[in-house]
Amino acid sequence: MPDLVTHFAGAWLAGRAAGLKRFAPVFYLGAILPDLVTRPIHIVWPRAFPATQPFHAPAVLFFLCWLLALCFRRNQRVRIFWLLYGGCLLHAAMDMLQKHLVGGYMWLYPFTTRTFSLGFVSPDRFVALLPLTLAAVLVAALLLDLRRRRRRRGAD
Amino acid sequence: MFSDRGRVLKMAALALLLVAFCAHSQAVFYEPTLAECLSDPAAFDGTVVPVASGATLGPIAADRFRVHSIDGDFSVSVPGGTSGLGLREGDYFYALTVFRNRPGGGELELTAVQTAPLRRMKIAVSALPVLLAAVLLARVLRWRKGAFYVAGEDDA
Repeated sequence: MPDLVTHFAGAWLAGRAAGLKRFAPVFYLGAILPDLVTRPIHIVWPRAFPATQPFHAPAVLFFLCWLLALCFRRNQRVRIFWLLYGGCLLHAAMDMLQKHLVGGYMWLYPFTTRTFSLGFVSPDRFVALLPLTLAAVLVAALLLDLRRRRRRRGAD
Repeated sequence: MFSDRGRVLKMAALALLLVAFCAHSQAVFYEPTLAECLSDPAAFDGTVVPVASGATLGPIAADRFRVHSIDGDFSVSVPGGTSGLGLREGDYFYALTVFRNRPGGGELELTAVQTAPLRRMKIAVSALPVLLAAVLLARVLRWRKGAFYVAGEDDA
């Protein structure tokens, strides 16, 4: 996985682009959820690594987000579900960029246990790229804001 | 799917399903270990043995290195020599090895290695977005009548 700062920054940018406000933290939670429910277990108890693997599979995350959405008030459940699940899918897309020598993620679990990734960056190298990532996210956010302001002026 | 009808039952079923996925994944995931290979060296000769799950590098010699792992400490021989592999004692790493049957037991022979020198930093910085998400969620989430809800105006 990229570090959670990278995941959070990606979610922050996506949330800003989508115009999320009060519900944005739910989207951010979705973007870190796959690691939040697996890494503490994996770090403390490495032997449980296989048991945590399904929580990066979109099919399994669908059920996890459904369960979490049911913890919310009825009129907000659908929105909560899609924000959580959208965040999870963004997380999965970012994780797919990684290079794995051993392990990798079972994206299509429970249909297959095969793992694959695009193999661009070693998992821990995202930390080294963090200053660059954060700068790129800030520039992208500024450009988004500028575009919005121009649109508003055009509409006025 | 998101209605109040049978809500608790749906939540219990989803929780059970997620636990079943974990149990299934743990059960089907199989990787031979060094201990298993040493129990029958002739049968496991040539078997690929991945080394991961929190393994760290111990002392490094010219033609081998020690491994600290959840399966105990052991040596891995490096046919081409350890120089130029970027190995550093104490770093996390992932490796693909092959078990070789030798007189008096057997040993693991390195075929590929990927070090993760920044893994500790990655774990440390990943705590920040978790805290940030928790703070942001605490600001907008409320609990009433057995369910969470996002307080305030709905997003556009």
